[in-house]
Amino acid sequence: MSGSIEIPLRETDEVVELKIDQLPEAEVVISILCQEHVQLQLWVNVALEYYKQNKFEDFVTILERSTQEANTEYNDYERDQMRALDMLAAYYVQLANQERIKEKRDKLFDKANLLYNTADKIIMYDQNHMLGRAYCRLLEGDKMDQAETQFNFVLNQSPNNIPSLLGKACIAYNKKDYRAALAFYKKALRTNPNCPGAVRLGMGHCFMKLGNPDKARLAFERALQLDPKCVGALVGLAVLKLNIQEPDSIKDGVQMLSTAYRIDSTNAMVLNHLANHFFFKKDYTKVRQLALHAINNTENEPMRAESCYQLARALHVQGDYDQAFQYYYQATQFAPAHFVLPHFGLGQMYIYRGDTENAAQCLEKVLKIQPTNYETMKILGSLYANSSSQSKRDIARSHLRKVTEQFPDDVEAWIEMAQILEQSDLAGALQAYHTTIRILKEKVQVEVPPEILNNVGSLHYRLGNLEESKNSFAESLGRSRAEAEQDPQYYNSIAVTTTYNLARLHEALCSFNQAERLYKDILKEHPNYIDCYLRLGCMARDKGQIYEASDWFKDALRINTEHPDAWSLLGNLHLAKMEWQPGQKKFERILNNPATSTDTYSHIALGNVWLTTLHQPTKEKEKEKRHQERALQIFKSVLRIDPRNIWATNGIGAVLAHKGCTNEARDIFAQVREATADFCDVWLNIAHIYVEQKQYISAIQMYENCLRKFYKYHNVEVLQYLARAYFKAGKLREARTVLLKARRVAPLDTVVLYNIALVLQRLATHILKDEKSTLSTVLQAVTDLGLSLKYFEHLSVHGDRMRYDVNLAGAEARQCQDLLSQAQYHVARARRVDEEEKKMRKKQEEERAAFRLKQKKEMKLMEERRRQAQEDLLQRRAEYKEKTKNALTFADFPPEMKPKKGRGRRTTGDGEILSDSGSEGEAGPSEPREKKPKERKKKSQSGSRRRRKEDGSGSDRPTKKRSRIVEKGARKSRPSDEGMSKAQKSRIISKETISTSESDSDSGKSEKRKSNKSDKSDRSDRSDHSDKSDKSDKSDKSDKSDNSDNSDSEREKSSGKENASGKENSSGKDNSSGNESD
Amino acid sequence: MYSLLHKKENAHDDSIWSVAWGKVTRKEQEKENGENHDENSRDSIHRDPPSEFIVTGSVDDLVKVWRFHNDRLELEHRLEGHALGVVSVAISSDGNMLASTSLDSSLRLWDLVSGEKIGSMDVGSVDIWTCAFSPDDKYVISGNHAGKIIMYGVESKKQEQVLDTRGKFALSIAYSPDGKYIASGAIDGMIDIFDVASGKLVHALEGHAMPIRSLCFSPDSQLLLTASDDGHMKLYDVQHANAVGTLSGHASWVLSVAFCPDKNHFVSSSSDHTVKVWELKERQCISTLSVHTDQVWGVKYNPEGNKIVSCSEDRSINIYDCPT
Repeated sequence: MSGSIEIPLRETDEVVELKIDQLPEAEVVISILCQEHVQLQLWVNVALEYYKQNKFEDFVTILERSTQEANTEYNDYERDQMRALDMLAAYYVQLANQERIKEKRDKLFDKANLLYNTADKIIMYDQNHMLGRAYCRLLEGDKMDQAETQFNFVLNQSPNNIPSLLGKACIAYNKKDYRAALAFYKKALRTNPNCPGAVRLGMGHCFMKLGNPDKARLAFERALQLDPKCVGALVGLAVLKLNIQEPDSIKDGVQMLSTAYRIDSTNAMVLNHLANHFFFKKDYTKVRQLALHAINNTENEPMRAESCYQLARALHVQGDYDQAFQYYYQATQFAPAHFVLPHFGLGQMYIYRGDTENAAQCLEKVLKIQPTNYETMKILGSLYANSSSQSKRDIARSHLRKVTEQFPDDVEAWIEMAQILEQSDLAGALQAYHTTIRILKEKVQVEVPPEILNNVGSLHYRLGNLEESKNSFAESLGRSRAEAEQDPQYYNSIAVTTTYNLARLHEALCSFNQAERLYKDILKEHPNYIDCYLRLGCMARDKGQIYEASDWFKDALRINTEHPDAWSLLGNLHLAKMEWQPGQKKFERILNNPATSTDTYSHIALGNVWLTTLHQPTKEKEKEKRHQERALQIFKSVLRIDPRNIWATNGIGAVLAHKGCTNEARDIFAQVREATADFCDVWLNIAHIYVEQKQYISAIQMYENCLRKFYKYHNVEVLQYLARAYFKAGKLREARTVLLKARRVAPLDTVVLYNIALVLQRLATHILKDEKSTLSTVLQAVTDLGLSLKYFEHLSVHGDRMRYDVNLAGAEARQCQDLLSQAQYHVARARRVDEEEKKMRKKQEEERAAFRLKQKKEMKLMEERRRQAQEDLLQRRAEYKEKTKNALTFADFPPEMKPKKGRGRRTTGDGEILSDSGSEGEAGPSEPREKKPKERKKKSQSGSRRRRKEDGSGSDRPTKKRSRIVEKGARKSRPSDEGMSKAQKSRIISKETISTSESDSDSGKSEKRKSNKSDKSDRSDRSDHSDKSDKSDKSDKSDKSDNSDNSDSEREKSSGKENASGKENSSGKDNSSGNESD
Repeated sequence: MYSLLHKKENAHDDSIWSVAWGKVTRKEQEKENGENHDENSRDSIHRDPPSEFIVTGSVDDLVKVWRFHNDRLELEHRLEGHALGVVSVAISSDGNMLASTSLDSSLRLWDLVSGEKIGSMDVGSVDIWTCAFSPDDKYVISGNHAGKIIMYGVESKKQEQVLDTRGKFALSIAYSPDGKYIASGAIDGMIDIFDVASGKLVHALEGHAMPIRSLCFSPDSQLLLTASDDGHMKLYDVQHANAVGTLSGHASWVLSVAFCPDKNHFVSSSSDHTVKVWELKERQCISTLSVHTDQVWGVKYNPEGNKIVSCSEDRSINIYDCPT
């Protein structure tokens, strides 16, 4: 520098010499400059001197004053004007760039822009001006494109303009075109090999971004050589060192950072990196200080984001979640798209706050940027696992599957996986738990936690592996007891859950005693464990101890007066005892409680109550219709709540059947049956429809399958249906056997007895009428008739008046008597036939004997003849021998031929006899044997044909009429077995069967009978569907409670898990350090 | 180990409802031989070791007598005459007589060895169900529809005494081996115990709430074991009518129970297709035999207590070996 500036004095040649190292106050200088009317150029030069001496305020004052006061009356003054403006603007830009407070910063930029705009009006395309403007725009941040055009403009004029090159490089870098940035830097360096360290620094960053740490290091080192105080280079080098991740290099890196800190204690980048370092040193207070400092010292958003993140992270670890949340949130607001760590942290905070919705959103953002981040997938998986939406749960499953594939040793992920699979794939869940247990045992070498064992046990239980389930539960209990020493409360609660599960298991194993003991044990310590009361109640109920069951349920209600399961179970007890009113009240109570107003179970129970009332006979058609509608409405409303509810669907089918819409009902039942095969009622209903449609064979098959599939014991009700189907199909013998089996288990059931009597009577009638019946069957039929009579007589006195008209039994009894009196005729006929047959047989026998005798005789005769012939032959031969004795050589030929001939004849003769006797002997007995069955077949055919015909034809006998009425009634309402009016009672009579028997009687004697019973079952059947649907529903409920319990323990666990995962996530060390230094 | 010794498939044409195991004692044989001195059969019987018979009754209306010999069953007699299914069969304690009842309310007595019908009683239309012999073989007892227990004289072939439970249908019945008690189980789960000498009802117990299909006394007559549709069995002290144990384990109705002559075990059969052997002391199931493929209607020990027979809806008769 020249050392001094000379200010020429006006109108003289004298000058005032300003010593540069002794610059006076700005005002002094300005007054001199004003007085002397100095040219602008000089003003600018003076200002520059002030600037160089860091006297910025003076610099600004001088420049500002220069615009008004300076002498511009000289050539080329415009250039100096430009310089003054640009200089001031550049100064403001610089200030703005350093300014951390956005408002001030904006103000400064505004000032700069104003100046630039003024300058624009003077000389628009001045290179320096352009550059200044470009940098201004560049630094302003969001006007990079404009800056670039200006740089381009300058470069067009002078291709090696270094500031433009650097500017371009900077833009390229910010646009992430690191290669281009590098190229610009290199060009600048070639143009001016002595350019400042900042160029090297920029190159270093480019190399770093391009993944070339060695060159980056070289560049940084060079930059540092050129400018030992270059913070950017220091930081760059430090980051490189830290990334090597070895203790020594980390140490070096930290040292560099602290050097940088010493140089510039307000550089946010340095502060962030230091904070990051201290975070890993676990010196969280320092982290917070540094980060806070960094936040206050930068306006750069990515930078602030990182500072906020560092701060939040420290707070997070220190447990100050509220503050952490705030800073994470700020960080996410500032963070550039690729900086996802704050989102991760924020997600964790949301989880802590229980806001899974937002947490999931945050984590989704992370996953979008880093689609394979397994931590995120894991957390997200567990979040979605508890979601109510199936699609979310599917996402969770796929996330977790990926996690477990990537990190097959991640126990937590396996546990999550198992939990989510529990909802859909029990075997898969079990597999996952087994993997978990294996990892825990082999890799982590810790004892398997009791929760997992409990879950494994319950999975085994649900899969039906009861023994394994038992082992798991036992093991879990053992572990719980061991762990309870440390945390008694938590592990005791797990032990209780496991004990409950074990009790459920004992129930499944039918060890009711143990189950009961366990439940009671639990209740001793936890008298509020409602499920235990309910299970105890259910067990009592299943034992038939209704009152005991009711007491248990009421105990449960004492603890929770609104417990819907307890109310339902109580309601079911009432319904089972056919106490409709109280039962109905219980369910209505559940529905009146707003919390459970959509309880589908209760809705269906109510629907079933209405349905059941339909089975009770009423004369009021209107009322019946109303009840049908009510039931239908309820079932429909259930379907609105749960469109896939099979019980409601089944109920609708039943109502339709009531209305006589058989086909529609059938379709509905078929649909339900397709949805599940484990619903007994729908099988029965389908079978009933088959009966209705006269497809008896299908119906029989359906009933039999149903019995086999759903009942271990003889279910009297289903047996009755089956017998009825057999009866209607005309298979009386089978019907009889089925009814006997029913009677074996329900000897008090008079309906069964009635039906047996009826079938016996019917069978006997058939046999008696069949003229080909043998004597023994006829006699058997007569005894059967006697039995039938005995039963009907008994029933007419002791019959169950509630279920049918005992007078009918009396009528049947009389009919039996009639039949019996006619039976003598049949017996006589049969005896006659029998005797005839015997005679015939005897005759045949005799004939056969005679024939045999004759044959024998013939044989003898034949034998005789043969013998004679032989003798003859021998004789002749002897004679011949005699004759040819002398002519031996000559007559050798003929004798040989003769015996041949004779032998041949003999054999054929033999054969004839054999075949004769054989064929005749066989034909005799075989013929009649064949004939008999043929005849029988014919008869049965004709019989059936006849029957069929008569099915259609209506006759006008009084009995018939009655039966027709019956038919109507039966179809309209399938009443249940009690309290029917007289008119309805007649309905009981079966229809088709009656007409058949009557038609039969047309041909034979006058036999009238009405079948009473078979339709009894008809009535009861529908009523019981509904009952049964209750039952199955109920079992479903109890299952549910079981599940909920399991899930309880799971829930406990998963919450623990979230805490664990809320701990920490790996944070990348190579966080981007913004290109701010440029 | 309890194991299947022999399985007789298709022993009847339909489900087998009842079974009994008896042994003709030598004394009786000799006595009988003495009586029937002139019969040809005498020699053959005399030479045989004591014959063991298994009797089964089925829905097919037949009672079949099987000779158990060399661990095999050979059909000895096919007894016809019942109608509507044979509900129960019982063998007298001397092993000579067989009583059978059927759904048509008839009771028949047979000579077990010869297979001849000794007598038959057709009673009221619904007055007979399961039957049992008194230990002295003078009576056959059976419960009826009205909850009465009727004692039929074997000699007289007539009703000789009636005990009234004042309860419901007595489904099951048992005579204590010491001859003092008769116990019956009702369809509503009530248990009634009578003192035979006085003919008085001494205990009425609300044992179960569901039908009791089988009950039996322990060999020392101290305990009564009941089996019910509720899937449970209960043990009672006969004298004081205390319930001394409840046993569960069957997954469906318990259809039949029988005490082992060794007094330490008993066996049960159920609609769940299994036969379970229990230990009295621990009241625990020690073996579950799942050979049948359908409900097991009846189960009995042999007189030595080392074999078990069971009959089932699946038409088969199974014989199991007991470990000693």
